[in-house]
Amino acid sequence: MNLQPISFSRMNLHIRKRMFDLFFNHQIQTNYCNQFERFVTYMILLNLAGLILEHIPVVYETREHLFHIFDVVSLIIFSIEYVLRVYVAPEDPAFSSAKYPRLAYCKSPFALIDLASILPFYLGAFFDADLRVLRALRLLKLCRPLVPAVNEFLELNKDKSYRYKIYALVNETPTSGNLHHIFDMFIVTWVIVSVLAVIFESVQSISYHLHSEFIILDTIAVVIFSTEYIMRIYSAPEDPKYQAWFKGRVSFACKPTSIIDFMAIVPFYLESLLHHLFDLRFLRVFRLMRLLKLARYSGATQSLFTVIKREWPVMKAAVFILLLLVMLAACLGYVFEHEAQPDKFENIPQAIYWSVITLASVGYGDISPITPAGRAVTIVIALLGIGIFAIPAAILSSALSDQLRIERERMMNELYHMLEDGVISADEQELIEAEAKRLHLSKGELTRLLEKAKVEMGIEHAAVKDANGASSEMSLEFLSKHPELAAEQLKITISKLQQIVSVSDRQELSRYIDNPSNVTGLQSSMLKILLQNAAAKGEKKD
Amino acid sequence: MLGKNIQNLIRDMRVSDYFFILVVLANVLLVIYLGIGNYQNAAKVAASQNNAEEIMIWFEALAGKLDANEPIEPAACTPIDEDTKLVKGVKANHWKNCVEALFAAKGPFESYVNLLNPTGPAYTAKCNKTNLLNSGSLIFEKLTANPAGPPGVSPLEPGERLVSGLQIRLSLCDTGFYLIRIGEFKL
Repeated sequence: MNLQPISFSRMNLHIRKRMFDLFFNHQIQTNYCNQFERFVTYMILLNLAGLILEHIPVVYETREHLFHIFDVVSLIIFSIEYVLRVYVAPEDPAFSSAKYPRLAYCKSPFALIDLASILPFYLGAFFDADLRVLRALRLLKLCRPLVPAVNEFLELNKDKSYRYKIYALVNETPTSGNLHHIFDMFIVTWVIVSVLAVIFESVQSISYHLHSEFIILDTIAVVIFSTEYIMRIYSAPEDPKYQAWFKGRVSFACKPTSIIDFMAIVPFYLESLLHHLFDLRFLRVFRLMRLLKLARYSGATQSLFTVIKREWPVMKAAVFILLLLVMLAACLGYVFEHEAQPDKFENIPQAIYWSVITLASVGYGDISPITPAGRAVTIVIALLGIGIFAIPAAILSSALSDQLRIERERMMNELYHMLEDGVISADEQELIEAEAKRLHLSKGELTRLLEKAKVEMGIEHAAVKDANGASSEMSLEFLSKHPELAAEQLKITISKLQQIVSVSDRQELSRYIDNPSNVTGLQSSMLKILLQNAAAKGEKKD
Repeated sequence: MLGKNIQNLIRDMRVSDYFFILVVLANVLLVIYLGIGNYQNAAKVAASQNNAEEIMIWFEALAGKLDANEPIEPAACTPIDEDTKLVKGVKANHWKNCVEALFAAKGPFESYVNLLNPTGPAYTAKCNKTNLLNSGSLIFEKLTANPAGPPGVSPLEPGERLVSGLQIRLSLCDTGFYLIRIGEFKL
């Protein structure tokens, strides 16, 4: 009779737990918690962009319905998120101990922010007021990932100086935590936004209507980038390479990445302060230098610089041959063509332009030989150019692939080192994944390298993983070399035996082992010990 | 917890840390101040663009008035036909007279001022970076048809005769001495 309500309640509990584990449980690594939070963050940012664009008449007036559709979709998503969070609140350890977990959740600051982000739209149905501007409250939802990150950061750097905290925020350190990643993401986003703004500003039809908006965007970008620059310069002495308070900071400021940071902000100051004294139009293009700021976040540029540095002697030789050929071709071109075309081959510098264009196989055709001797020379240098110009490119490409191989070998060595104890800890796994990300290795490729390392270390069958990723068995050969792991394995096996005995019918088991044809002496003694143990436990419980 | 952490953060700060915060704040204030200046200039450019668009509308309406044989005010801006210009004794209006009449007292654009440089001219022949007063001025350029490619652009000389079909481009000289194209019209 009671079967149906009980099963419904169980099902409800099961669904609630499953929902929480899938989307909200940070303790589980393989769920969709991060993806869900990232999705909500993107939606918040899109809402912010929408809110700004709505205030630009030329954008909003013709696309009002699209903005409305987007607003409704956002509201549905945020409402579903809010309802889901309220629904799973009893599963959340932060609220599960409260008398009314859902009420406790609804009173929490984050829940109030969530509610404030959707409420204006619903209120709009009852009041005749334009509450759309209140949608800016959705921005507060960004506090959800930010506040825990700030707390974690301050906890990790509790005993550190203020300057070190700044250093840990702008640079990757063991105590940087998640806040550093958020900071990096923020800077990268603004680099992309400001570069796109510079590009679109050069389009007359866009700039004509959005000139003021571009100015606001540029000012915000400069506030952010200049603050970042000052933070980097101020915290530079925390780096052992730049310890001296003044000299260290000057050396840091002379680093290529610091120069790029400086070049990204200086056009704004110069143009704003000196535009009435000089023509500083050319400085606007320098704002595109902000794109180079992304080099700090990419391992590829680092690898390229390493390669160029390593191959510099060979490159120098190739460039020297190239220069010789260019000069020779230019001189011959001038000798043969000057008389026939004094306007085009007017002097050797002009002939140099022609020889470079011909050797590089570009061939604009604005300057071309007309004398038979000049044409003969052109045939030779065009053929030579194909080979000679390809040398530096070939050197670079082979050196780059070499560099990648070296870096992968270095990673393999690290893997061997980590596998010396036979297992990869969570910290080691994190390090491997970070290194794989830096080397642009796919998940499949990383697994392949790990397998290779295990095979080469002779522990390929050391730990056989089951479908859930849990380690189940270890090879005897491996256990014979690792007594501490053998002891652990024995303990696990005994626990499993205890579990089997506890769930079995003890009388049936006793009868079974009493028959000498069923078990050996040792097996019988061991099972008897387990049965006695289980019986003792059962008595205790009663 | 966050409040406590922030309290600890402030408590452990040294003089140099306060100086750093001061520098950051000073820089933020400076950038905002410069940004506001730039924004005000941009707003003036936008207002100048709107004003220039009104001038464009006036010139575009000119052709309609000519077709309808309506009188044109100021008369100095009335162009002559291609055919009449060859007739002896017929005098064509000059651009100088027309533009002066447009911006003069009682002209349709007498209230027009150069918003970026109130002391600068309302219109000029060239957006010349050597003359800083030029920014914010209107630039009228003559377009010459070029069958091989885009039309040729040259400054509209004061002595240019106003003939029907004369193509003119109106632009605004920006704060950075860039030309902001407003539009093109035919007399």
